[in-house]
Amino acid sequence: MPQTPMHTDTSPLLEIRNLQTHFFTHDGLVKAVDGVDLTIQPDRTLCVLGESGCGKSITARSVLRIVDQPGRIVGGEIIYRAADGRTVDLAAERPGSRRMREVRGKDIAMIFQEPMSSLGPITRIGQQISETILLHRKVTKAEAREIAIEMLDKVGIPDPTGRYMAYPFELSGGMRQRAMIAMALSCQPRLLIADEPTTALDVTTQAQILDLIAELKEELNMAVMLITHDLGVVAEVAEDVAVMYMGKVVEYGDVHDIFANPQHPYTRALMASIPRIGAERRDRLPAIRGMVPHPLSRPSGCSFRTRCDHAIPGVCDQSEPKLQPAAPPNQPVSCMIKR
Amino acid sequence: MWGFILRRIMYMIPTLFLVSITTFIIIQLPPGDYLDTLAAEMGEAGVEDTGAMEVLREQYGLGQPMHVQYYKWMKAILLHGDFGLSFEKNRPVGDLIWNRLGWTFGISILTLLFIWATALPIGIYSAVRKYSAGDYIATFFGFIGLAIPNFLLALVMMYISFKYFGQSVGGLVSPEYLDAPWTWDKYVDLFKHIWMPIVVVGTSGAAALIRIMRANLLDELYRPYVVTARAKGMSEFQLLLRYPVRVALNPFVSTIGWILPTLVSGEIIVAVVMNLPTTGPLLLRALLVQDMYLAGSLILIVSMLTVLGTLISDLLLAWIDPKDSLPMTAITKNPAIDEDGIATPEILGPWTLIWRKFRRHRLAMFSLWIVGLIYLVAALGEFLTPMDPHDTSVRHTFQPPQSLGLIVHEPDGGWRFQLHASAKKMELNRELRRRTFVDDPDSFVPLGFFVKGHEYKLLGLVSSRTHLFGPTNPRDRAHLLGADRLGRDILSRIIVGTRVSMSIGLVGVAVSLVIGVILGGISGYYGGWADNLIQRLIEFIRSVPTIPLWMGLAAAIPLDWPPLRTYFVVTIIVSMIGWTSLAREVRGKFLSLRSEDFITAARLDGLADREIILKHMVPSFSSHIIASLTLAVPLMILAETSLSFLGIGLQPPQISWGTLLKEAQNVRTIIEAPWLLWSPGVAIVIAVLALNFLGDGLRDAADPNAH
Repeated sequence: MPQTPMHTDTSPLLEIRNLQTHFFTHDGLVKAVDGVDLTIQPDRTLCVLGESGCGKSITARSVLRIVDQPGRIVGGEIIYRAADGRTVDLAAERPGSRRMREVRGKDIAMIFQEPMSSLGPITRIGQQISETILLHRKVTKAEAREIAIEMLDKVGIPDPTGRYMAYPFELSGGMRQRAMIAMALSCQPRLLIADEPTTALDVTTQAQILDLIAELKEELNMAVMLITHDLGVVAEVAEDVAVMYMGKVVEYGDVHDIFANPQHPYTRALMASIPRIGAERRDRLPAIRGMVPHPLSRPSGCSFRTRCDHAIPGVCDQSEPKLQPAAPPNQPVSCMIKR
Repeated sequence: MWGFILRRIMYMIPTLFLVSITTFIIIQLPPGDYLDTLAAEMGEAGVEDTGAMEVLREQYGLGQPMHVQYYKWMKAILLHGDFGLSFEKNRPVGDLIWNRLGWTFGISILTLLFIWATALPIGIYSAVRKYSAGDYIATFFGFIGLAIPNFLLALVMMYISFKYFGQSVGGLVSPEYLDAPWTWDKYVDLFKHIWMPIVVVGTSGAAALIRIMRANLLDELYRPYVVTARAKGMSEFQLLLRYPVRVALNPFVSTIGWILPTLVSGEIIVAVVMNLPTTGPLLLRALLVQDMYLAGSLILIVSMLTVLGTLISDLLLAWIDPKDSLPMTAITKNPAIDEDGIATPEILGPWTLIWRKFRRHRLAMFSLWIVGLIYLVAALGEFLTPMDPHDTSVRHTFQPPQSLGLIVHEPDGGWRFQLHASAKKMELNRELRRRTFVDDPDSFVPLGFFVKGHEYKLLGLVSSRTHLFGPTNPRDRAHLLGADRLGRDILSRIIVGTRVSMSIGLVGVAVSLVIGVILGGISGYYGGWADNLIQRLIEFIRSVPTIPLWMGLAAAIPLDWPPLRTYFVVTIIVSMIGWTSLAREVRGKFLSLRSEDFITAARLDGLADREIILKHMVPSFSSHIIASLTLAVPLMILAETSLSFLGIGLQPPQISWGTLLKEAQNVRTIIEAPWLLWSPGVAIVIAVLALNFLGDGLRDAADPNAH
């Protein structure tokens, strides 16, 4: 799929600046998203890459303001630019406000990881799609049904008219994910957020779903924010990449640059741990030592320093690094060393 | 689908057959028959006629062997629709019951609608606004409904309605409308009366439904599909109704069939109290005098309708995809290792987590204290009573409660501290032509701590005369909660009754636990024919409505048995129904666990069945079972109370809360001596409420999915 170099002159579709989403739990304050900066350009695919628990899902949910209690956005901005150029700060809206509900499903749509539990279990899928259409477009029920069947066809579900009446448990995993995509794209959003859409699927289906998303992206002129922990997926579909660790973006750039020239020690360690065909034989894959720290007990200073081979005591444990451009042609990175 | 329906209908037939046999046996259980009762009554009236007895016996076929009588009865029903003759009233049973059945079912259906209309919105609100003031209030009122026995609520409402609103009590219409034609006015009068039985019978059903709805909805509210709906842009209200509520309602649809017999059953006792023209009073009377065909027919018809109700609910269930709750995953304890010297928070075991969650539920913690206190009272018994519970006194019959005071005024104008009870003296009130009690300001009864009183055995072992609290002079009488019709101290009787009432709950639950877990476990784990057999047995037991079943069994207890034996038999009777719901729950859990991967893994590891059950399955649901048991105890207590209230089961002079309430059986007594009702009533409500809150708190704490 076409992977073009990053444009810096078009206005971004979505700009996330210093987003902070914290969870006020009984056991303490969990800073799930702790100062995230991201930019999504129209018509481009951004992959957010990171381990489980790094805050990538919460970032996505913060955009649509569907973070569950006891989580709350405590700081930062999420600037969404509509088609007519007007901007709105989604972080400042009330989660249940009319403006938010208009954005959801119509301007920004989201698909989730587990299609079985993410679709209403006792409602027919056709109805779930029509419902979305009726929420945002002024059409009759019959028209909505037609559009829904059309969408089911477009996502590659055979016998769409028959399948309209099916329940989610009557479909296979891949079909369910397609149905969810149909539902999300039924109102032609400008941004599709996909939260690990293929993690629960087998590899063949995964490839099909990724192709489908790419196809529809082209057709609808959509931007895509794809969240994943799979480097293979990133290599396949990404145009821009943001690497996250413990609630912060540690590196951000064009996919070619990230893969060819990773800057942050974490990114480098990730790249080094991928088994490659044709590389020299080794006994062990180089894994990143240690474990992700418990969110209630983060290390002082740089949160990666406990697992970093280049950590400098006295520097890395003192202050938190910020995401800033390294010397060109290097991409923005947040590391105390690479300044 | 049709095969399923056909099979269920086929199962119904042997069940009905078994029900009819059981009914007949129950009716026959009490020694003797109607004619013996009649002879006793005639003997009391001084009439003697043994010759006529034999003729009657021949005529009614009472002398013949049981199976012959049964066969004749069933033949008459099936071939002629003839339900037999009522001995007492000398009319065909059919005449007597159809009218009453109509009222019974009319009221039951109206109650059902009332329950659904109130409980569903409240349950939904409670779940969505969890832990808000509204939630606590709704839960509290829900529990009150659950804790107050139906008949108690009926008596209280009748008392209030009579005293403050001057409404005539008893019956469904005012006396002036009894035989009048059905005018609009009569309908209005009917509605003025009928709301009370509906509310009384409905409150406990509504309370249960609120709790279940709240729990079901809480299970669904945080699921991923709700997030998806929100992400589509639906408003909270819209998505609430279309997604989680619809899923949470599913289990309810299948309970419609069960609610009807419960309503009929619960309505029986209330009908006795409120004198309603329904089947309840008729059945009670028939059981007490052994009017065989009347009682048998009533139980049979009600059971048949129950079986039909079960069929309907099973058919509805076949439409639905039941959700199994997730089993609890064990979190193992790990030592906190960290080379970088950064402390990691502890990883806690499952019981620790449950205890921590439980502690946050303040109401449940408070209830734990209350329940502990109540059991302490039960254990200490007579150490705590100010007076001898069995000691009667002619001069103190129906004495109102005496108030406590701290300060005593001396005749010379000074005062001192002296804990005392104000004295009452008896006067003849010439207007009311009765004795009444008035305060006597000139004397008082000094009270103290650790006083000497009547002799008793502490914990049944050690003889003692010391009481924690009471009159300093053992000859004095101080009735802080009033005295009953024989002058006995109510406070002391309530304290002593605690032991019997609370222990019946525990013992009953223990019996239910053993039977329920064993049978439910076999049923769920092994499946196959064992499962089938046990399920049929459970269905059969549930098909016979509980109240008539208890009444029948309890009425069969000979009155001359020693009290301890009666006590145990009542306990067994009460737990006989309880075990079925526990067995079903255990079976359900076993079924869902059986297909879990970790069980397959255990089996592949070579573990024996017994080990798998004990080490892996039981810990997964033991917390749920504990919660269920805690919730079953109050039901047992209420059951014993109801039975004793009706005069079957435990008999005076045995002291239990139920037998105490028996003294307050009619409204006239209560109006004159309301303390007979309030004191034991409040004791029951507190105990049942505390146990319910405790059980609820345990269940919430044990649920790993609760938010």
